[in-house]
Amino acid sequence: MFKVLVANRGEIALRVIRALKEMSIASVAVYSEADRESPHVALADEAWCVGPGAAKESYLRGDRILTAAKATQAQAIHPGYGFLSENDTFAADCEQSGITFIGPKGNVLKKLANKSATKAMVAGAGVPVIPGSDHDVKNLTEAQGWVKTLGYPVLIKASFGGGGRGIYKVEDNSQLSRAWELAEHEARSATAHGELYLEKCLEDSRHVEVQVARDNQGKTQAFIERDCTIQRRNQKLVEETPSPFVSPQVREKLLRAAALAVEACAMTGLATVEFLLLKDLKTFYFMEINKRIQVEHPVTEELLDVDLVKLQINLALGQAMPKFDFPPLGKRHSMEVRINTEDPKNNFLPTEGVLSFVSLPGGPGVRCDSYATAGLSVGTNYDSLLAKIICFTPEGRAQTIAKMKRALEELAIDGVTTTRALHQKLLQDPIFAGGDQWYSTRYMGEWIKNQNWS
Amino acid sequence: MIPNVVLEILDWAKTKEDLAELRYENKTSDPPISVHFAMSSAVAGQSPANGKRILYLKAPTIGKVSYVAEKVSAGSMVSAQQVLGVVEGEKEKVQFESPVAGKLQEVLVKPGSWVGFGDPLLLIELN
Repeated sequence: MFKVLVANRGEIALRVIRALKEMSIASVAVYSEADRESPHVALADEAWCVGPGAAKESYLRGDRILTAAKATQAQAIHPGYGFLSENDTFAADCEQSGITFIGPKGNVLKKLANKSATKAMVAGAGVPVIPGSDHDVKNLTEAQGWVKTLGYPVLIKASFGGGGRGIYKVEDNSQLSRAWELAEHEARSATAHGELYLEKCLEDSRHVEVQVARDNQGKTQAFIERDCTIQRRNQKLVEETPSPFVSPQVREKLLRAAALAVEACAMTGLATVEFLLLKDLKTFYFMEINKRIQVEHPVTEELLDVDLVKLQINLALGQAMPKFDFPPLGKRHSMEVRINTEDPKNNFLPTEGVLSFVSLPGGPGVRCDSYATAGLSVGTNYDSLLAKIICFTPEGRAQTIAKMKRALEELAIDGVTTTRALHQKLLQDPIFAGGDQWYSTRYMGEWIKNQNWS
Repeated sequence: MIPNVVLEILDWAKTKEDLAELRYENKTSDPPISVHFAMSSAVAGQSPANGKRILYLKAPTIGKVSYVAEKVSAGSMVSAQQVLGVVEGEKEKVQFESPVAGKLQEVLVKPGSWVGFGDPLLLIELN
Protein backbone atom coordinates (compact mmCIF):
# COMPACT_ATOMS: atom_id res chain seq x y z
CA MET A 1 0.00 0.00 0.00
CA PHE A 2 1.24 3.47 -0.81
CA LYS A 3 2.15 5.48 2.27
CA VAL A 4 2.49 9.23 2.76
CA LEU A 5 4.01 11.02 5.74
CA VAL A 6 2.34 14.30 6.69
CA ALA A 7 5.00 16.71 7.95
CA ASN A 8 2.69 19.16 9.64
CA ARG A 9 0.20 19.62 12.46
CA GLY A 10 -3.13 21.27 13.22
CA GLU A 11 -5.94 21.63 10.75
CA ILE A 12 -3.82 21.18 7.62
CA ALA A 13 -2.47 17.84 8.86
CA LEU A 14 -6.07 16.69 9.35
CA ARG A 15 -7.01 17.98 5.89
CA VAL A 16 -4.20 16.02 4.23
CA ILE A 17 -4.79 12.82 6.24
CA ARG A 18 -8.47 12.96 5.30
CA ALA A 19 -7.57 13.19 1.61
CA LEU A 20 -5.14 10.26 1.96
CA LYS A 21 -7.80 8.10 3.61
CA GLU A 22 -10.26 8.82 0.83
CA MET A 23 -7.56 7.84 -1.68
CA SER A 24 -6.81 4.58 0.19
CA ILE A 25 -3.28 5.77 0.90
CA ALA A 26 -1.75 4.94 4.29
CA SER A 27 -0.90 7.96 6.43
CA VAL A 28 1.91 8.68 8.88
CA ALA A 29 1.66 11.62 11.28
CA VAL A 30 4.63 13.23 12.97
CA TYR A 31 4.23 15.26 16.12
CA SER A 32 6.11 17.17 18.77
CA GLU A 33 5.91 16.38 22.46
CA ALA A 34 3.52 19.33 22.84
CA ASP A 35 1.14 17.76 20.31
CA ARG A 36 0.77 14.24 21.71
CA GLU A 37 -2.93 14.75 22.19
CA SER A 38 -3.50 16.72 19.01
CA PRO A 39 -6.09 15.02 16.77
CA HIS A 40 -3.81 14.49 13.76
CA VAL A 41 -1.86 11.98 15.85
CA ALA A 42 -4.95 9.86 16.39
CA LEU A 43 -6.37 10.24 12.88
CA ALA A 44 -3.30 8.98 11.01
CA ASP A 45 -2.64 5.27 10.61
CA GLU A 46 0.59 5.65 12.56
CA ALA A 47 2.27 8.50 14.39
CA TRP A 48 5.86 9.25 15.35
CA CYS A 49 7.18 11.77 17.81
CA VAL A 50 10.02 13.76 16.23
CA GLY A 51 11.05 16.14 19.00
CA PRO A 52 10.15 18.59 21.73
CA GLY A 53 7.53 21.32 21.48
CA ALA A 54 9.72 23.98 19.89
CA ALA A 55 9.15 23.84 16.12
CA LYS A 56 12.88 24.27 15.50
CA GLU A 57 13.47 20.92 17.21
CA SER A 58 10.51 19.07 15.71
CA TYR A 59 8.40 20.22 12.74
CA LEU A 60 11.31 22.18 11.27
CA ARG A 61 13.79 19.31 11.67
CA GLY A 62 13.86 17.98 8.13
CA ASP A 63 16.38 15.31 9.14
CA ARG A 64 14.14 13.93 11.88
CA ILE A 65 11.12 13.95 9.60
CA LEU A 66 13.10 12.12 6.94
CA THR A 67 14.12 9.58 9.58
CA ALA A 68 10.44 9.07 10.40
CA ALA A 69 9.72 8.53 6.69
CA LYS A 70 12.44 5.89 6.53
CA ALA A 71 11.31 4.22 9.76
CA THR A 72 7.80 3.88 8.35
CA GLN A 73 8.87 3.27 4.74
CA ALA A 74 6.72 6.14 3.55
CA GLN A 75 7.15 6.77 -0.18
CA ALA A 76 6.13 10.42 -0.13
CA ILE A 77 5.99 13.42 2.22
CA HIS A 78 3.27 16.06 2.23
CA PRO A 79 4.63 19.21 3.89
CA GLY A 80 1.35 21.15 4.31
CA TYR A 81 1.95 24.90 4.59
CA GLY A 82 4.55 26.76 6.66
CA PHE A 83 7.33 24.69 8.30
CA LEU A 84 9.23 22.80 5.55
CA SER A 85 6.74 23.37 2.74
CA GLU A 86 8.98 25.65 0.68
CA ASN A 87 12.33 24.48 1.99
CA ASP A 88 14.46 23.61 -1.02
CA THR A 89 17.07 21.70 0.99
CA PHE A 90 14.41 19.48 2.50
CA ALA A 91 12.78 18.86 -0.88
CA ALA A 92 16.17 17.95 -2.35
CA ASP A 93 16.97 15.65 0.61
CA CYS A 94 13.66 13.85 0.05
CA GLU A 95 14.42 13.41 -3.64
CA GLN A 96 17.87 12.04 -2.82
CA SER A 97 16.35 9.50 -0.47
CA GLY A 98 13.94 8.37 -3.17
CA ILE A 99 10.99 9.92 -1.35
CA THR A 100 8.54 12.05 -3.32
CA PHE A 101 8.21 15.56 -1.93
CA ILE A 102 4.61 16.62 -2.59
CA GLY A 103 5.48 20.06 -3.89
CA PRO A 104 7.77 21.62 -6.45
CA LYS A 105 11.18 20.12 -7.22
CA GLY A 106 14.02 21.13 -4.90
CA ASN A 107 15.93 23.00 -7.61
CA VAL A 108 12.81 25.01 -8.53
CA LEU A 109 12.19 25.91 -4.89
CA LYS A 110 15.80 26.99 -4.59
CA LYS A 111 15.50 29.23 -7.63
CA LEU A 112 12.26 30.74 -6.31
CA ALA A 113 13.47 31.27 -2.75
CA ASN A 114 14.67 34.72 -3.74
CA LYS A 115 11.56 36.82 -4.35
CA SER A 116 13.19 39.64 -6.23
CA ALA A 117 14.77 37.12 -8.62
CA THR A 118 11.37 35.44 -9.03
CA LYS A 119 9.81 38.80 -9.83
CA ALA A 120 12.38 39.38 -12.55
CA MET A 121 11.66 35.95 -14.03
CA VAL A 122 7.90 36.58 -14.06
CA ALA A 123 8.35 40.04 -15.57
CA GLY A 124 10.39 38.39 -18.30
CA ALA A 125 7.32 36.36 -19.27
CA GLY A 126 5.38 39.57 -19.89
CA VAL A 127 3.42 39.61 -16.63
CA PRO A 128 3.09 43.09 -15.07
CA VAL A 129 4.97 43.24 -11.75
CA ILE A 130 4.85 45.84 -8.96
CA PRO A 131 7.20 48.69 -9.86
CA GLY A 132 10.37 48.40 -7.83
CA SER A 133 14.02 47.44 -7.87
CA ASP A 134 14.33 44.67 -10.40
CA HIS A 135 16.93 42.84 -8.29
CA ASP A 136 18.28 42.79 -4.73
CA VAL A 137 19.34 46.20 -3.46
CA LYS A 138 22.89 46.13 -2.07
CA ASN A 139 22.89 49.01 0.37
CA LEU A 140 21.21 52.15 1.62
CA THR A 141 22.80 54.31 -1.07
CA GLU A 142 21.37 52.14 -3.81
CA ALA A 143 18.02 52.15 -2.00
CA GLN A 144 18.04 55.96 -1.95
CA GLY A 145 18.60 55.90 -5.70
CA TRP A 146 15.62 53.61 -6.26
CA VAL A 147 13.38 55.73 -4.06
CA LYS A 148 14.08 58.72 -6.30
CA THR A 149 12.62 56.81 -9.24
CA LEU A 150 9.76 55.13 -7.37
CA GLY A 151 8.65 57.90 -5.02
CA TYR A 152 7.36 57.39 -1.48
CA PRO A 153 5.81 55.40 0.11
CA VAL A 154 7.97 52.34 -0.58
CA LEU A 155 8.20 48.89 0.93
CA ILE A 156 11.46 47.27 1.93
CA LYS A 157 11.05 43.53 1.58
CA ALA A 158 13.27 40.64 2.54
CA SER A 159 14.20 38.76 -0.63
CA PHE A 160 13.97 35.49 1.29
CA GLY A 161 10.99 36.48 3.44
CA GLY A 162 7.48 35.14 3.28
CA GLY A 163 4.06 34.89 4.85
CA GLY A 164 3.70 38.66 4.98
CA ARG A 165 6.71 38.97 7.27
CA GLY A 166 9.88 40.97 6.86
CA ILE A 167 8.13 43.90 5.20
CA TYR A 168 8.86 47.51 6.20
CA LYS A 169 6.92 50.48 4.96
CA VAL A 170 8.74 53.77 4.52
CA GLU A 171 6.74 57.01 4.24
CA ASP A 172 9.51 59.53 3.70
CA ASN A 173 13.24 60.17 3.57
CA SER A 174 13.59 60.59 7.33
CA GLN A 175 12.52 56.97 7.93
CA LEU A 176 14.53 55.28 5.20
CA SER A 177 17.85 54.62 6.88
CA ARG A 178 16.31 53.40 10.14
CA ALA A 179 13.83 51.13 8.32
CA TRP A 180 16.63 49.80 6.14
CA GLU A 181 18.63 48.90 9.23
CA LEU A 182 15.65 47.16 10.89
CA ALA A 183 14.69 45.29 7.75
CA GLU A 184 18.24 44.08 7.21
CA HIS A 185 18.53 42.97 10.81
CA GLU A 186 15.22 41.10 10.70
CA ALA A 187 16.00 39.50 7.34
CA ARG A 188 19.37 38.26 8.65
CA SER A 189 18.00 36.86 11.87
CA ALA A 190 14.96 35.21 10.28
CA THR A 191 16.45 33.63 7.19
CA ALA A 192 20.24 33.86 7.35
CA HIS A 193 19.94 35.88 4.14
CA GLY A 194 20.15 39.63 4.52
CA GLU A 195 19.09 40.49 0.96
CA LEU A 196 16.43 43.14 0.52
CA TYR A 197 14.56 44.65 -2.39
CA LEU A 198 12.37 47.69 -2.85
CA GLU A 199 8.87 48.06 -4.11
CA LYS A 200 6.53 50.96 -4.66
CA CYS A 201 3.92 50.80 -1.89
CA LEU A 202 0.55 50.62 -3.64
CA GLU A 203 -1.63 51.07 -0.61
CA ASP A 204 -4.93 51.62 -2.29
CA SER A 205 -5.09 48.14 -3.74
CA ARG A 206 -6.73 44.79 -3.19
CA HIS A 207 -5.06 41.42 -2.68
CA VAL A 208 -6.27 39.07 -5.40
CA GLU A 209 -4.64 35.69 -5.97
CA VAL A 210 -4.98 32.85 -8.44
CA GLN A 211 -4.66 29.17 -7.60
CA VAL A 212 -2.74 27.34 -10.28
CA ALA A 213 -1.92 23.68 -10.80
CA ARG A 214 0.60 22.32 -13.29
CA ASP A 215 1.44 18.73 -14.13
CA ASN A 216 4.87 17.30 -14.93
CA GLN A 217 4.15 17.53 -18.65
CA GLY A 218 3.59 21.26 -18.31
CA LYS A 219 -0.20 21.39 -18.61
CA THR A 220 -1.44 24.30 -16.53
CA GLN A 221 -4.81 24.92 -14.95
CA ALA A 222 -5.75 28.23 -13.31
CA PHE A 223 -8.77 28.51 -11.01
CA ILE A 224 -11.06 31.49 -10.41
CA GLU A 225 -9.38 34.11 -8.22
CA ARG A 226 -9.55 34.44 -4.45
CA ASP A 227 -9.84 37.85 -2.84
CA CYS A 228 -7.87 38.22 0.42
CA THR A 229 -8.16 41.96 0.93
CA ILE A 230 -9.27 41.63 4.55
CA GLN A 231 -5.89 41.51 6.28
CA ARG A 232 -4.26 42.85 9.38
CA ARG A 233 -0.54 43.56 9.20
CA ASN A 234 -0.25 41.43 6.07
CA GLN A 235 -1.96 38.48 7.76
CA LYS A 236 -5.12 37.34 6.00
CA LEU A 237 -8.28 37.09 8.08
CA VAL A 238 -11.04 36.58 5.51
CA GLU A 239 -10.82 35.09 2.02
CA GLU A 240 -13.51 34.78 -0.61
CA THR A 241 -14.08 33.74 -4.19
CA PRO A 242 -14.91 35.12 -6.66
CA SER A 243 -13.67 38.62 -5.92
CA PRO A 244 -16.55 41.14 -5.89
CA PHE A 245 -14.22 43.52 -7.71
CA VAL A 246 -13.04 41.38 -10.62
CA SER A 247 -14.94 41.51 -13.90
CA PRO A 248 -15.04 38.50 -16.26
CA GLN A 249 -12.65 40.36 -18.61
CA VAL A 250 -10.10 41.08 -15.87
CA ARG A 251 -10.52 37.53 -14.56
CA GLU A 252 -9.48 36.13 -17.89
CA LYS A 253 -6.35 38.30 -17.88
CA LEU A 254 -5.54 37.45 -14.26
CA LEU A 255 -5.82 33.71 -14.84
CA ARG A 256 -3.69 33.91 -17.95
CA ALA A 257 -1.05 35.99 -16.16
CA ALA A 258 -0.98 33.48 -13.28
CA ALA A 259 -0.48 30.57 -15.68
CA LEU A 260 2.32 32.47 -17.45
CA ALA A 261 4.01 33.22 -14.12
CA VAL A 262 4.00 29.59 -13.07
CA GLU A 263 5.29 28.47 -16.45
CA ALA A 264 8.04 31.09 -16.39
CA CYS A 265 9.24 29.61 -13.09
CA ALA A 266 9.01 26.00 -14.34
CA MET A 267 6.83 25.23 -11.32
CA THR A 268 4.96 21.96 -11.05
CA GLY A 269 2.27 21.01 -8.57
CA LEU A 270 0.15 23.59 -6.79
CA ALA A 271 1.00 27.26 -6.59
CA THR A 272 -0.77 30.49 -5.80
CA VAL A 273 0.11 33.62 -7.70
CA GLU A 274 -0.60 36.78 -5.72
CA PHE A 275 -1.52 40.06 -7.39
CA LEU A 276 -2.42 43.58 -6.34
CA LEU A 277 -5.51 44.97 -8.04
CA LEU A 278 -5.69 48.75 -8.31
CA LYS A 279 -8.73 50.97 -7.87
CA ASP A 280 -9.34 51.31 -11.61
CA LEU A 281 -10.24 47.59 -11.36
CA LYS A 282 -8.17 46.96 -14.47
CA THR A 283 -4.53 47.35 -13.49
CA PHE A 284 -3.00 44.44 -11.62
CA TYR A 285 0.55 43.62 -10.68
CA PHE A 286 2.25 40.35 -9.81
CA MET A 287 3.37 40.35 -6.17
CA GLU A 288 4.68 36.88 -5.35
CA ILE A 289 4.20 33.20 -5.89
CA ASN A 290 3.46 30.71 -3.11
CA LYS A 291 4.62 27.20 -3.73
CA ARG A 292 2.44 25.19 -1.35
CA ILE A 293 -1.15 24.38 -0.49
CA GLN A 294 -2.55 27.51 1.13
CA VAL A 295 -4.67 28.06 4.21
CA GLU A 296 -7.48 29.49 2.08
CA HIS A 297 -7.60 26.66 -0.49
CA PRO A 298 -11.07 25.50 0.68
CA VAL A 299 -12.88 28.55 -0.73
CA THR A 300 -11.77 27.46 -4.21
CA GLU A 301 -12.71 23.85 -3.46
CA GLU A 302 -16.22 24.82 -2.40
CA LEU A 303 -16.75 27.22 -5.28
CA LEU A 304 -15.63 24.84 -8.00
CA ASP A 305 -16.26 21.36 -6.58
CA VAL A 306 -12.61 20.34 -6.72
CA ASP A 307 -10.31 18.67 -4.21
CA LEU A 308 -7.03 20.57 -4.41
CA VAL A 309 -5.18 18.36 -1.93
CA LYS A 310 -5.99 15.19 -3.87
CA LEU A 311 -5.05 17.00 -7.07
CA GLN A 312 -1.74 18.05 -5.51
CA ILE A 313 -0.96 14.48 -4.44
CA ASN A 314 -1.89 13.04 -7.83
CA LEU A 315 0.22 15.60 -9.68
CA ALA A 316 3.21 14.87 -7.43
CA LEU A 317 2.83 11.17 -8.21
CA GLY A 318 3.14 12.01 -11.90
CA GLN A 319 -0.48 11.94 -13.00
CA ALA A 320 -1.60 14.16 -15.84
CA MET A 321 -3.89 17.13 -15.24
CA PRO A 322 -7.45 15.84 -15.14
CA LYS A 323 -10.22 17.38 -17.22
CA PHE A 324 -12.25 19.65 -14.99
CA ASP A 325 -15.96 20.00 -15.33
CA PHE A 326 -16.53 23.18 -13.35
CA PRO A 327 -20.08 24.16 -12.45
CA PRO A 328 -21.22 27.36 -14.22
CA LEU A 329 -20.20 30.26 -11.97
CA GLY A 330 -23.57 31.98 -11.84
CA LYS A 331 -23.88 33.59 -8.43
CA ARG A 332 -21.83 30.96 -6.63
CA HIS A 333 -19.81 32.44 -3.78
CA SER A 334 -17.67 31.04 -1.01
CA MET A 335 -15.95 32.68 1.92
CA GLU A 336 -13.60 31.65 4.72
CA VAL A 337 -12.95 33.24 8.09
CA ARG A 338 -9.94 32.34 10.20
CA ILE A 339 -10.61 31.59 13.84
CA ASN A 340 -7.26 32.33 15.48
CA THR A 341 -6.30 32.03 19.14
CA GLU A 342 -5.72 35.76 19.38
CA ASP A 343 -7.48 38.44 21.36
CA PRO A 344 -8.86 41.21 19.12
CA LYS A 345 -9.53 43.33 22.23
CA ASN A 346 -5.92 43.08 23.25
CA ASN A 347 -3.98 43.98 20.12
CA PHE A 348 -4.33 40.42 18.77
CA LEU A 349 -2.07 38.99 21.45
CA PRO A 350 -1.84 35.19 21.13
CA THR A 351 -3.97 33.40 23.71
CA GLU A 352 -3.49 29.98 25.25
CA GLY A 353 -5.36 27.57 27.46
CA VAL A 354 -7.26 24.33 27.61
CA LEU A 355 -10.29 24.14 25.33
CA SER A 356 -12.93 23.38 27.93
CA PHE A 357 -15.78 23.26 25.43
CA VAL A 358 -15.84 23.01 21.65
CA SER A 359 -18.86 23.00 19.37
CA LEU A 360 -18.19 23.52 15.68
CA PRO A 361 -20.79 24.78 13.20
CA GLY A 362 -22.41 22.52 10.60
CA GLY A 363 -25.45 22.30 8.40
CA PRO A 364 -25.83 22.89 4.67
CA GLY A 365 -23.09 24.87 2.97
CA VAL A 366 -20.88 25.09 6.05
CA ARG A 367 -17.49 23.45 6.27
CA CYS A 368 -15.25 23.66 9.30
CA ASP A 369 -11.60 22.66 9.03
CA SER A 370 -10.34 22.64 12.58
CA TYR A 371 -8.29 20.68 15.07
CA ALA A 372 -10.14 22.10 18.08
CA THR A 373 -11.36 19.35 20.41
CA ALA A 374 -12.56 19.63 23.98
CA GLY A 375 -9.78 19.03 26.49
CA LEU A 376 -7.00 19.99 24.07
CA SER A 377 -4.38 22.34 25.40
CA VAL A 378 -3.54 25.14 22.96
CA GLY A 379 -0.24 26.90 23.47
CA THR A 380 1.76 29.53 21.66
CA ASN A 381 4.40 27.22 20.21
CA TYR A 382 2.88 27.35 16.74
CA ASP A 383 0.78 29.65 14.57
CA SER A 384 -2.54 30.69 16.02
CA LEU A 385 -4.91 29.20 13.43
CA LEU A 386 -7.40 27.03 15.31
CA ALA A 387 -10.28 26.72 12.88
CA LYS A 388 -11.42 27.81 9.45
CA ILE A 389 -15.08 28.23 8.71
CA ILE A 390 -15.93 28.05 5.04
CA CYS A 391 -19.41 28.90 3.78
CA PHE A 392 -20.76 28.43 0.29
CA THR A 393 -24.00 29.27 -1.45
CA PRO A 394 -24.95 29.25 -5.14
CA GLU A 395 -27.07 32.34 -4.47
CA GLY A 396 -24.55 35.12 -4.13
CA ARG A 397 -22.24 36.88 -1.71
CA ALA A 398 -24.98 38.29 0.54
CA GLN A 399 -26.40 34.81 1.11
CA THR A 400 -22.95 33.43 1.83
CA ILE A 401 -22.44 36.20 4.41
CA ALA A 402 -25.83 35.38 5.98
CA LYS A 403 -24.72 31.76 6.24
CA MET A 404 -21.39 32.78 7.78
CA LYS A 405 -23.20 34.83 10.43
CA ARG A 406 -25.31 31.81 11.27
CA ALA A 407 -22.22 29.56 11.39
CA LEU A 408 -20.33 31.95 13.69
CA GLU A 409 -23.33 32.06 15.99
CA GLU A 410 -23.13 28.26 16.27
CA LEU A 411 -19.39 28.22 16.87
CA ALA A 412 -18.61 27.88 20.57
CA ILE A 413 -15.08 27.54 21.92
CA ASP A 414 -14.47 28.02 25.62
CA GLY A 415 -11.09 28.20 27.32
CA VAL A 416 -9.29 30.53 24.94
CA THR A 417 -10.18 33.86 23.37
CA THR A 418 -10.47 33.66 19.58
CA THR A 419 -11.10 36.03 16.70
CA ARG A 420 -14.76 34.94 16.50
CA ALA A 421 -16.11 38.26 17.82
CA LEU A 422 -14.01 40.15 15.29
CA HIS A 423 -15.59 38.28 12.40
CA GLN A 424 -19.08 38.72 13.80
CA LYS A 425 -18.53 42.48 13.89
CA LEU A 426 -16.95 42.57 10.46
CA LEU A 427 -19.86 40.75 8.85
CA GLN A 428 -22.10 43.58 10.12
CA ASP A 429 -19.90 46.23 8.53
CA PRO A 430 -21.80 47.88 5.65
CA ILE A 431 -18.69 48.43 3.52
CA PHE A 432 -17.45 44.86 3.80
CA ALA A 433 -20.90 43.27 3.65
CA GLY A 434 -22.07 45.53 0.84
CA GLY A 435 -19.16 44.53 -1.38
CA ASP A 436 -19.96 47.26 -3.88
CA GLN A 437 -17.88 50.10 -2.40
CA TRP A 438 -14.15 49.97 -2.92
CA TYR A 439 -11.98 49.04 0.04
CA SER A 440 -8.32 48.21 0.06
CA THR A 441 -5.96 46.01 2.09
CA ARG A 442 -5.57 48.97 4.49
CA TYR A 443 -9.26 48.89 5.34
CA MET A 444 -9.21 46.20 8.00
CA GLY A 445 -6.40 47.81 10.03
CA GLU A 446 -8.27 51.12 10.20
CA TRP A 447 -11.60 49.41 10.84
CA ILE A 448 -10.14 47.54 13.84
CA LYS A 449 -8.93 50.79 15.39
CA ASN A 450 -12.41 52.28 15.11
CA GLN A 451 -14.19 49.43 16.83
CA ASN A 452 -15.44 49.64 20.36
CA TRP A 453 -14.36 46.33 21.89
CA SER A 454 -15.92 46.74 25.34
CA MET B 1 9.15 -10.21 31.86
CA ILE B 2 7.20 -7.11 32.63
CA PRO B 3 3.45 -7.66 32.83
CA ASN B 4 1.47 -5.98 30.04
CA VAL B 5 -0.39 -3.83 32.49
CA VAL B 6 2.84 -2.13 33.50
CA LEU B 7 3.73 -1.43 29.89
CA GLU B 8 0.26 0.02 29.38
CA ILE B 9 0.73 2.28 32.37
CA LEU B 10 4.09 3.35 30.96
CA ASP B 11 2.45 4.15 27.64
CA TRP B 12 -0.13 6.26 29.39
CA ALA B 13 2.43 7.86 31.67
CA LYS B 14 4.62 9.03 28.82
CA THR B 15 1.77 11.24 27.61
CA LYS B 16 1.73 13.02 30.97
CA GLU B 17 4.62 15.42 30.95
CA ASP B 18 3.86 16.86 34.36
CA LEU B 19 3.92 13.50 36.10
CA ALA B 20 6.86 13.21 38.49
CA GLU B 21 6.36 9.74 39.85
CA LEU B 22 3.87 6.96 39.88
CA ARG B 23 3.26 3.94 42.13
CA TYR B 24 1.34 0.89 41.10
CA GLU B 25 0.52 -2.06 43.34
CA ASN B 26 -1.53 -5.13 42.76
CA LYS B 27 -1.13 -7.64 45.57
CA THR B 28 -3.71 -10.06 44.23
CA SER B 29 -2.09 -10.55 40.84
CA ASP B 30 0.21 -13.48 40.24
CA PRO B 31 2.95 -12.59 40.79
CA PRO B 32 2.07 -9.53 42.90
CA ILE B 33 3.14 -6.29 41.24
CA SER B 34 4.59 -3.39 43.08
CA VAL B 35 6.38 -0.75 41.05
CA HIS B 36 7.45 2.80 41.50
CA PHE B 37 8.20 4.79 38.39
CA ALA B 38 10.34 7.84 38.72
CA MET B 39 9.48 9.85 35.64
CA SER B 40 12.70 11.80 35.47
CA SER B 41 16.23 11.21 36.61
CA ALA B 42 15.84 14.07 39.08
CA VAL B 43 13.51 11.86 41.10
CA ALA B 44 15.95 8.97 41.22
CA GLY B 45 17.52 9.92 44.49
CA GLN B 46 14.30 10.05 46.46
CA SER B 47 13.49 7.91 49.47
CA PRO B 48 12.87 4.31 48.54
CA ALA B 49 9.31 3.19 48.04
CA ASN B 50 7.92 -0.12 49.06
CA GLY B 51 8.16 -1.42 45.53
CA LYS B 52 11.12 -1.50 43.22
CA ARG B 53 12.40 1.85 42.05
CA ILE B 54 12.36 1.73 38.29
CA LEU B 55 13.40 4.42 35.90
CA TYR B 56 12.84 4.35 32.20
CA LEU B 57 15.24 5.74 29.73
CA LYS B 58 13.78 7.78 26.87
CA ALA B 59 15.09 7.77 23.31
CA PRO B 60 17.07 11.01 22.85
CA THR B 61 15.93 11.34 19.25
CA ILE B 62 14.08 9.50 16.50
CA GLY B 63 16.12 6.83 14.76
CA LYS B 64 17.52 3.35 14.70
CA VAL B 65 18.81 1.86 17.93
CA SER B 66 22.10 0.13 18.45
CA TYR B 67 23.70 -0.88 21.72
CA VAL B 68 27.32 -0.27 22.46
CA ALA B 69 27.61 -1.64 25.97
CA GLU B 70 28.65 -5.28 25.98
CA LYS B 71 25.63 -6.60 27.76
CA VAL B 72 22.42 -4.74 27.29
CA SER B 73 19.93 -7.33 28.37
CA ALA B 74 17.61 -7.88 31.28
CA GLY B 75 19.59 -8.56 34.44
CA SER B 76 22.78 -6.72 33.40
CA MET B 77 24.24 -4.31 35.90
CA VAL B 78 24.93 -0.80 34.68
CA SER B 79 26.77 2.06 36.29
CA ALA B 80 25.81 5.72 36.35
CA GLN B 81 26.73 7.61 33.16
CA GLN B 82 27.56 4.34 31.41
CA VAL B 83 26.94 4.75 27.69
CA LEU B 84 24.54 2.02 26.69
CA GLY B 85 23.84 2.71 23.06
CA VAL B 86 23.13 5.05 20.22
CA VAL B 87 20.05 6.24 18.37
CA GLU B 88 20.96 7.07 14.82
CA GLY B 89 18.82 9.35 12.69
CA GLU B 90 19.27 10.84 9.23
CA LYS B 91 21.87 13.40 10.29
CA GLU B 92 22.56 12.70 13.93
CA LYS B 93 23.90 9.99 16.19
CA VAL B 94 22.87 10.47 19.79
CA GLN B 95 24.26 8.37 22.62
CA PHE B 96 22.17 7.40 25.58
CA GLU B 97 23.53 6.51 28.96
CA SER B 98 22.18 5.15 32.19
CA PRO B 99 21.50 8.12 34.46
CA VAL B 100 21.91 5.89 37.54
CA ALA B 101 23.60 2.74 38.70
CA GLY B 102 21.30 -0.24 38.71
CA LYS B 103 20.09 -3.39 37.05
CA LEU B 104 18.45 -3.52 33.64
CA GLN B 105 14.93 -4.66 34.34
CA GLU B 106 13.76 -4.87 30.76
CA VAL B 107 15.11 -3.97 27.33
CA LEU B 108 12.19 -2.75 25.29
CA VAL B 109 13.79 -2.44 21.86
CA LYS B 110 16.16 -4.59 19.84
CA PRO B 111 19.23 -3.37 17.97
CA GLY B 112 17.96 -2.18 14.60
CA SER B 113 14.55 -1.15 15.96
CA TRP B 114 13.25 2.26 15.02
CA VAL B 115 12.20 4.44 17.94
CA GLY B 116 10.43 7.79 18.12
CA PHE B 117 11.70 10.77 20.10
CA GLY B 118 11.07 10.03 23.80
CA ASP B 119 10.04 6.40 23.36
CA PRO B 120 11.05 4.20 26.31
CA LEU B 121 14.17 2.14 25.55
CA LEU B 122 15.07 0.46 28.82
CA LEU B 123 13.76 0.04 32.31
CA ILE B 124 16.44 0.33 34.96
CA GLU B 125 15.96 -0.81 38.52
CA LEU B 126 17.86 1.50 40.82
CA ASN B 127 20.44 0.09 43.19
